[in-house]
Amino acid sequence: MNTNNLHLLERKLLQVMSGRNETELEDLVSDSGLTLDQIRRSVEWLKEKNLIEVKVNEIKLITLGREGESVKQKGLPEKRLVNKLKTGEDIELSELPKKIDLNQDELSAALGYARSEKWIKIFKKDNRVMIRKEGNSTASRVEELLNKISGPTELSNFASEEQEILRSLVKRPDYIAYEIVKKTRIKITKDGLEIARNIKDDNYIDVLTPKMLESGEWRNNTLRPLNVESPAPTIYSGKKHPVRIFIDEVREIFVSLGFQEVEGSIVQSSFWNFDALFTPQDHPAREIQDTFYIANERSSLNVDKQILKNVEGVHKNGADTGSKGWGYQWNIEQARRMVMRTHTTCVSVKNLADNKPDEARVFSVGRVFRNEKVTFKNLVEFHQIEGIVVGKDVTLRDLMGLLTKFYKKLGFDKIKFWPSFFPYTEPSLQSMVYHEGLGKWIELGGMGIFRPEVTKPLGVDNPVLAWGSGLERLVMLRYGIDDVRKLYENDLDWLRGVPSCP
Amino acid sequence: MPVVTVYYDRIFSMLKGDISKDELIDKIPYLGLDIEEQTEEYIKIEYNPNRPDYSTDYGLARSLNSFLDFETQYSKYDVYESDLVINIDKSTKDVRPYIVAAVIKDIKLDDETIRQIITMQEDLHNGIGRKRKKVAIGIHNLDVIKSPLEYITVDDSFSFIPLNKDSDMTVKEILDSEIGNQYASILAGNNLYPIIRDANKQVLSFPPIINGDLTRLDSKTTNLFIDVTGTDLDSVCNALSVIFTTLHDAGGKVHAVEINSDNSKIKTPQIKEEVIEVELEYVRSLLGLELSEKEVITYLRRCRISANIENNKVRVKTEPFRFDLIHPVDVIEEIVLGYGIHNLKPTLPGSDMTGGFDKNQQFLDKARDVLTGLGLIEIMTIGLISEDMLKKSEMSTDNLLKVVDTKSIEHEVLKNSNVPAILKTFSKNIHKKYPQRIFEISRVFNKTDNEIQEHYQLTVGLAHATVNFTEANSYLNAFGKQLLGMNLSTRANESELFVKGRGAEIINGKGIKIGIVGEINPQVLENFALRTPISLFDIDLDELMKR
Repeated sequence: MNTNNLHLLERKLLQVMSGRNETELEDLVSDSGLTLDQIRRSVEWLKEKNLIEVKVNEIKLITLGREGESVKQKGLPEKRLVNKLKTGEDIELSELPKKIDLNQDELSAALGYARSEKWIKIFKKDNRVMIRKEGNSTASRVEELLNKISGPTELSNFASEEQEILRSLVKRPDYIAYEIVKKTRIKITKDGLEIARNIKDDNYIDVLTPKMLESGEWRNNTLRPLNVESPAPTIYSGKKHPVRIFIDEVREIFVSLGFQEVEGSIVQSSFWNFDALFTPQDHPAREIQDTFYIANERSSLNVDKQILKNVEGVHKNGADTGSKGWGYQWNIEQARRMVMRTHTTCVSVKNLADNKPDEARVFSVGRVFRNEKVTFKNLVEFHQIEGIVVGKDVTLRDLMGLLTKFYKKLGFDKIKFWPSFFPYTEPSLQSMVYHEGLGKWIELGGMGIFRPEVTKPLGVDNPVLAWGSGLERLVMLRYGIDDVRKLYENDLDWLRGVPSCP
Repeated sequence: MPVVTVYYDRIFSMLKGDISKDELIDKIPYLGLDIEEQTEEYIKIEYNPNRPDYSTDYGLARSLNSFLDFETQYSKYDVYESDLVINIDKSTKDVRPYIVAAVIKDIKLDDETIRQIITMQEDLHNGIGRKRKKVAIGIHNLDVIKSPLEYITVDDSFSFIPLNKDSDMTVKEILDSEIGNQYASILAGNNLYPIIRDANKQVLSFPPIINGDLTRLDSKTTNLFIDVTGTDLDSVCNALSVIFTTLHDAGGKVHAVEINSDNSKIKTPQIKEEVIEVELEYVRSLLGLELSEKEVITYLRRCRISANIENNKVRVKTEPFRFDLIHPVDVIEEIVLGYGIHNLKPTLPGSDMTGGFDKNQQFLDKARDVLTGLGLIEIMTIGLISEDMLKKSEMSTDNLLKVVDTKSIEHEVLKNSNVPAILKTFSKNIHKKYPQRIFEISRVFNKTDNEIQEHYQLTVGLAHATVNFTEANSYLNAFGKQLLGMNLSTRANESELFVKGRGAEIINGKGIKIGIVGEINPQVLENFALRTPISLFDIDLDELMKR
């Protein structure tokens, strides 16, 4: 093997090892001048080239716990108890804490162990619990043993009966702790020795310094070739969240299709989230088990009076929209309840009410909330994509055309449509796209033309095409994820490792 | 979404033309129905709650027969006379004011038919019935009851034998039982309870809770009495329409019931013919299809809607169970269903428009560019957090905005800061490689002057063995300078979040506090089981946008 192919670190380590027998990695730090991390890396490389052998041993280490340290200083609690008592004198149990410097935990341990050693007797007299000294404490093996331990000590250093005692001490909380440590030992192989010998003979330089450049000394030396095929240490880039990267892509597609981005509040009145969307006030979607209502908050409903009146009318009997309405008395107090928005459609209709456009293309990507149990497919909070198109001559077929273009730009070439139902659009459709990777059709967003009961009360007379879709599903497909919770766990390994263009 | 189970042998015997299993499966979605499950014997189909007529296989067969052109003339729903009478006591007005009813005779009830009817009843209860509050339905054996019936109220000591029990129970006992408990709230507030009983004072039903045992159905029953009670007249009539048309299609003969109250006498079921008019031009322009009059009529017929067109106006008459049609656009949807969504060719809108990004979002985009350029990794967390996370962060829990009845305490308050989420993220990543440098930009929520305020907040968190105030301050400065060319200065300020003497407020050029920066208090680190020091800064981006 050509020694030039060895990395600087590998050569250093081989040289150090050529003079040693089997050695622990930690012991090489001072002799080699390498960090432990550098040693570990070069060990990996050298092992693969069969230049060193690696052995991993597991060692059981014993350390003293908090109580163990205290016993080492003051003695076992049961001995401290017995030493304070006088033979033949009965003491009431409740008096003990005042007489002896033991805390509650120590005292109960002391009573238990002293009693099982038969040093004391506990009995009842006149309904009082009494304690009497019965014998003297003997010299304790435990104390001797604990005195031997200072700092982590290998279990195998103890005699077998001592090990027995140590095992029994585990039952006493915080006396001792076991720790298993892996120790790596390495040994140079015959090939390794051969190469290490050759290393001494070369006269390459390893590092090009500014000094060499200044003096021109570099001309007299040759830089050692490196193993340019070996893997490099990992570094990480700063990065946007994968969901954000996807959101940005969606936003760019919308803008390229002529849509203007809008945003709106996350906390909304029920009026904008439900009533303005022609959702009757007793509709199941408004129930507390599906929607996050905000406790004790009521909206002042700072809404154009005419719009309030129109919405009330359309719920009641359709007003002048050509509809029959829902046939009930609309209650403004219900509309004041504040919710975490359940969709971004409230942002779209508020935008319609504010601008009353004859023609517009508007989109938003925002967070929406549902009061659900979190599972691998449900989150309490997720993103919704939504686009609307207003125009005198826009048609259902235009909606299908725009959506086809939208999904094509996201990489889905095949799309199909079929009828569906949404309370605030009519006609309503659903779309499916073909995912080449999975080889199957996937249900995506819903769409339709806003009901006149939604748009007319806001002062918008032209038809409004609308479509919406969850975002997370698309992100999961992009990154090959099957548990939606993973997106917001913020596991740094995933965030650092996931590519921007998978 | 409600689901109907459809057995192939039954549905094929109901269809009036030939179709293979595969074709059937292909066609069903084009009625707006979703196939949820398929086996050798049956399919489960999800339908939308505005179409309870799909709650049985009879309803599906009815739709398919016309949709597939197996049938171009529809049977009329004939209603015969009966001598059954219900007298309403006026005390029911404040308890459960509306009752309608029907009699169905000569129907054959095998097990599957009974199962289909019960599913229909449950779906009507849950859908338009709003969990029996608005509508409750009782189905009884007609042959054991004697006319006239009465709809009265009783107090809670009144007793009768409820369905599937063998002895009397009082109303109070029934309300305290498992089934009663579920629906008792519907009747709360009055000390009166509605009862339907017959001329022999035998109880048929205690709506909306339970029927009497007297009128229990079995497979030998051939004549039915149906009662529908509720709080909204339209809803009880609509529910009855779905039931009587379905039982008609199941082979029963429908008979009317006379319903008498103090000031009125009506017969139900009533077949109200609803008429809707749609401008032909509206149909054409909304769909983008130049349909002829004949086409419109054909497509509507496929959806069982009869229509005629005069002076460019489409006049449709709807069947009694089609109360989902409330506006001309609903008729337009029926036309496009008849046309076939799969036959529609996508087009693009004529006029072009110029798109653009929202100004705030654009600002946030640039902020993210600067932050990722500084080597930070963006995290995204949920906007609802637990109060406990704020406490662990030693942050204020005053004036919190809470959600009602959350399903998990992890999500009980609207976050007023990103800081707890940043700390929790570090806590979840203690075994990941350090240094860790992360940021989050997210809305946070505050309550001021009785208004809920939302603003964008940026939090940058830095974690590694030697992190300190200075490093956080350097990142803060870099952010201010790179994004806005702005010097953000700091002013000493103590808080429980930071180490004493190592926390500060961030102030803008006008001396207004717009954020905080500092080394996290070791107590807080311990609260989150963190073993690595953390410094962070937290800044109100809305303030920077205003600049």
